[in-house]
Amino acid sequence: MTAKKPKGEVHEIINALEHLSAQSGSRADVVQNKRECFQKLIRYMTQGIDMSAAFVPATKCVALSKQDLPLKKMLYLYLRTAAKQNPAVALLVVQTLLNDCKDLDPTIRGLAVRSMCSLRVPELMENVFQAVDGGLHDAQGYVREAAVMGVLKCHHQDPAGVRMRGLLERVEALLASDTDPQVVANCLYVMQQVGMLEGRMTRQLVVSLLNHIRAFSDWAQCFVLDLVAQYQPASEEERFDILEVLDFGLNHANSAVVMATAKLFLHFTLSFSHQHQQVLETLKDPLQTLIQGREPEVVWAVLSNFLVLAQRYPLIFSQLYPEFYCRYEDPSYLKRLKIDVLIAIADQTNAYEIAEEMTQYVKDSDEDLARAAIRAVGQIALKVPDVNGIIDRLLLFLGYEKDFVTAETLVQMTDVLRRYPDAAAACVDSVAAIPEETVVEPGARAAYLWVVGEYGAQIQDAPYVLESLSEGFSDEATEVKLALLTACLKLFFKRPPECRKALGAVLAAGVADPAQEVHDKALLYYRLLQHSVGAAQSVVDVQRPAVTSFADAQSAEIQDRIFDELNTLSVAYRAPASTFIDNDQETERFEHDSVDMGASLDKNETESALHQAQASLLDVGNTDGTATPLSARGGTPVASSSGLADLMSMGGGVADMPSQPAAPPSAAAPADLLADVFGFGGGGAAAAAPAAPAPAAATAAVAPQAVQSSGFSGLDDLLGGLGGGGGSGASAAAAPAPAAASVSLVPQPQITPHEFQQKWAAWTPSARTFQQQLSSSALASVQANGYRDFTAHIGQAHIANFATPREGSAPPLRFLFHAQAAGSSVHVLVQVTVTKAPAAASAVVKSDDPAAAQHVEELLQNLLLTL
Amino acid sequence: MLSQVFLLSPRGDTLIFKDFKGNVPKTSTETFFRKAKFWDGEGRDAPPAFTVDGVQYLHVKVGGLYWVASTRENVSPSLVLELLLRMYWICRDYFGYVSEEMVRKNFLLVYELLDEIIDYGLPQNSSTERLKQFIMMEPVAVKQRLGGGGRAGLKLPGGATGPTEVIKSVLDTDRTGAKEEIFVDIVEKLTAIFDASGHQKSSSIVGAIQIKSYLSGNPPIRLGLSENLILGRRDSRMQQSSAYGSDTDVVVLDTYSINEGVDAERFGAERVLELAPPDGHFALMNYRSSRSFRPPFRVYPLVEDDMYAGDKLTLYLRLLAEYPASKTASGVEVTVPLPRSVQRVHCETDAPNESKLLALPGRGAFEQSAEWRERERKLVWSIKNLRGGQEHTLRCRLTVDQGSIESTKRDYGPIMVQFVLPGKPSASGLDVRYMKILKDEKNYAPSRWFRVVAMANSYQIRPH
Repeated sequence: MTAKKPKGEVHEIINALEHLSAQSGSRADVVQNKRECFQKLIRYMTQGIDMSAAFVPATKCVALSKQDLPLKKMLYLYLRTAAKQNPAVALLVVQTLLNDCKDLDPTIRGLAVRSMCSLRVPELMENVFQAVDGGLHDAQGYVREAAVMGVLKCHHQDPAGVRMRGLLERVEALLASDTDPQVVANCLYVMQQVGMLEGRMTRQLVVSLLNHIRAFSDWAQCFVLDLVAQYQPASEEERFDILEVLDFGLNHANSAVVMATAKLFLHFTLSFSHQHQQVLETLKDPLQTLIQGREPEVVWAVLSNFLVLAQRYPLIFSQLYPEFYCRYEDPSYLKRLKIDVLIAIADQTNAYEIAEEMTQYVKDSDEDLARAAIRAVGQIALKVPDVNGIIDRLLLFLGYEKDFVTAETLVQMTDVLRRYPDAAAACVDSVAAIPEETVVEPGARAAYLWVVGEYGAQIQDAPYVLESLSEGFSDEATEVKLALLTACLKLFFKRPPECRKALGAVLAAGVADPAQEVHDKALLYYRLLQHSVGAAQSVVDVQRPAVTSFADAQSAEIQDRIFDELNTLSVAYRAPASTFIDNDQETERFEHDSVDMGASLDKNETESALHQAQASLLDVGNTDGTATPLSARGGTPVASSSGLADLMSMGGGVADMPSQPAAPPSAAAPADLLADVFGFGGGGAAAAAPAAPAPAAATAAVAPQAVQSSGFSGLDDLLGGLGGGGGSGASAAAAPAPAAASVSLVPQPQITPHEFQQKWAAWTPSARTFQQQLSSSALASVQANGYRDFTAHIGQAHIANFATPREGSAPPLRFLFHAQAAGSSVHVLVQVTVTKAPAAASAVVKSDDPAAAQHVEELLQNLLLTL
Repeated sequence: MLSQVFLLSPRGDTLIFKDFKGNVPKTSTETFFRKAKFWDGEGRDAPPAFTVDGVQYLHVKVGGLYWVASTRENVSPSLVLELLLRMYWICRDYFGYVSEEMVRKNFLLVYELLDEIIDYGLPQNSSTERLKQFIMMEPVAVKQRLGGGGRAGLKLPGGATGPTEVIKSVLDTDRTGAKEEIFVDIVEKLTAIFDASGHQKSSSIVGAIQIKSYLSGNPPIRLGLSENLILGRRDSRMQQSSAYGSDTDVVVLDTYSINEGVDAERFGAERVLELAPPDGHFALMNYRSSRSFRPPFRVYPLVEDDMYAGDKLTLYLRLLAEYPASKTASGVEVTVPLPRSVQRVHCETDAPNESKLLALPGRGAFEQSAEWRERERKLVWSIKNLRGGQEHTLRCRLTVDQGSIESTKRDYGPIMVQFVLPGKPSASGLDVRYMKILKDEKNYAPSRWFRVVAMANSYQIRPH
């Protein structure tokens, strides 16, 4: 609202308008001048300058040139904005507006009704209702359209008034009787928005809509299709009749209609597999036409839907692969999507051709595309068992001598080797031939080291490579250091005399390393070796079975949900709606503030907290498919498993389950062994750290403190948890033993923001609260690392973070957590408020089960103590 | 459904901003622009839909502007993107063409249009035709600054839009009594991949019959298409024609879609398209054909080592225009991406000495040009007009990093060709045999314009 000299501009316009209103309104040149003046007025207004002061002369001007429609339209445009800035002005023109609602020209009537409903001035509601009421009776469809939408606008401002006047019933009556398709479409929309359509999609309504579907506009057709998709046909015959009527939609020129029709067809035939297949077959042609002939944005939307289908039914679409080749001028988002589709439909019949095409992209000057193409080749190699030609591609890329190509290829290569150990003979030499100094990216260096460690027996100068790397140990990234430690130890078992020097150097450097994970891993190796070389070998250097399937980035359940939400943004973001839509009923909900977050918490904060929670969910959904398998090498910081989970799972022979954070040892032996080691280690604070079973880096970082504050009992608990070998028991390690007996929590509780709000409001009476002092260092640790350390700390007891404050916010900081009891649907909701002066944390715990609430409260108290 | 619609200039200035529901903060234009402009660091295109703080932003980039919609609902991306594109086409129908300046000058008209197209976030009527009854303001003409070569050489967005040169508002005929006319274009976009020896590895055609109508009163028109037209692989005529054994005389469209207003059954039976054309631009029919066509251009690349210098290469590009001399292509552009190892490029076209050319009046002084765009790492060779049967050669001296001769030879390309080639026959063979305007009125003879244009969709030569 602040511009350089609003006063001057407003005055200038007011003067001009007053001058004009004094002249005869019917003269053409005066009208022209008025129009120009209005244009200026509206231009200032759209720049955010409050022009409501010009109101009186403006209306006067128009009143004197009634017959000029453009001028009238400009006045309405002005009025709508000015009324919001200054409601008083609207009151002055009610009569003019009401007169316009009865004008002879339907264009003016429609305009007046539409504008009045958009004013949003409470004092005017009575008149607005009057206008809407008149509009609904109008003989012209154009006016009725506006009036029907007006009912919805009124409903959002004054639902009681709408109910009192029976406007919604009038809309319902219009739906049944009106002959103007747009009026019918608007009626449907209004009813759907106010929730009147639920349970009313009767056969009669569906039939009448379908009979006239082609009379609707494209947009209304889409809306009707969405509604019909929710209808359950009474018989199979009816179901297929509906499909026949809607067949035209698949060849529609508007992709929105095609996609809405496709969704309906797919969902209607879900339980009829033969017809379902047929639908998929018929979809091929329209999809191809759209993909080849339309604007990139449209193609992107179509392909986003198609990717879901391709992942679900790869066989049906495998022969369409050339359609998805990238074009030079495709925008980058489209290229990436096309590559994803190609990966989805790759199989024995087309893998070679697709890999060939990818090879072209690897040469592209667009680095992103080249990397995506290499990843695609890697993933196709993992997916399609007959792999020879495709592994050759990867080897070919290594020969390109472009640093980033080499880097990306190495990362892919390791996954391929873990899947097909037999391919090692062909690959190891090529990897060994890469000059180590050309591998720059940490991820690639770690991958390179993994190959050297794993296949060092076949690489003649492997020990020398490791030795030279160990000299520059401290300059490497954490990820590389961890990989180097493991590689040295593995190779040591294969070629002890040559490797002793390198191993000694890296262990010494590792123990002295400032990074906790590196320090822990080095120390673990050191103590293992100190205990018994044989035992160390049985932990680190074991024959592992080939990984037969990598964890999918998305669970089948999530994929099903996205399929259900076809033709919505869910397919575009590749995540279910609950992760990015805050609520079905927008901001009004926030105004009612159903979560009692305390008086001081304004709605924006609530909103942003929820958004952050959702954003983090979205991140999980987007995790690159390769990230999960990588973490199993203990080399990447993805899960920051600090190598321990890695080792333990190796010992347990479950290395092919990399997505489990800390796989419980299936055999007691390695766990005992470890317990022995730490017993031997004397229970020093540092030794406790690597034993912490929780996978998060944060735990490792705070563990020494934990030991200091809770004494050795903490350590006992940790080891007890390990030795007991109980899968989920281990992770509740920080909890006092007795409480854990009655209630246990599931590791990944599920709740939607909506449920959270509802439950939070419903359980208020049974809330438990407590407050706890925090030291200043504890306060700092809450705020550190964007709250991630803190939430991970709480998360180790399976109390999942639900929402965090915006990063960098000033205290008080409010966190929401959520836990779920195992084996029942008992939820526990927690709000933790951390204040700075006094430094304290206060918590509100709510649940429908008092025992669970108490359990969580105790866990929390403990966790807050050990901050 | 939608919360806001806004138009931004390429620099992020708000040209048009309309809020329907008031449930998205006013700062959304900045939020959108910052996110879209710096997607994942610079240089990458933001996807057409993304989410920030619970607000969903959908946008299309056409006419040099961002057309954006914001919402809090889980909408159909296809619907919103189509709607935004529809808005663009409506503006084009009303203004003749769309540019930042045009929108700035006509912002009131855009608001007026928007007001009719969307009410409280719900799309209402969006046909240029119906809108005309309710639109009162007149478009303000902006003098268009045409580049020397006209619009033909402009890079068009990937959609099935043609190089329509008519710049005329739909309001012109009714209100000013300007000449009545109708334009029918067959626009075909060619996709082809060639290997180094010129062998055509794959090809396909995406085509559209596009109409721009300025007929007052919208009389129905009738278009007769080629009689030897086969529609889809399941067409009964297909079986018959395969009995003849020759498929050179038939035109096969693999898939097609026709405008809603056309009687599809009659088209299937008689190959006749009949409808009352709405005002302004619309696609009468879209189709694809995978039949191979005679490639209009061939490019043969050749790389030679330098006998004396270890850091130099010579790249020759030979371009052949393999269409009849009666046709002339415009805006021909051959692009060669070169790897990072290339340091300097010196190009020499085979055009006669430039100074000589300048001395010749009436001849395009820059008929041919070649430049090395170092930032994009692209060599671009443009030829303004290329008559059929002609041949040109470009010679480029490349200076490369020491020791990267081999990798440079391996990594250059793929070579892309862009062109606009007007003239019959079309690549697919599709033709309009006749067009009738079904209006009984003496001396009614509106101008009828037919054009056939072939353009490159993705026309690649892969040298390796």
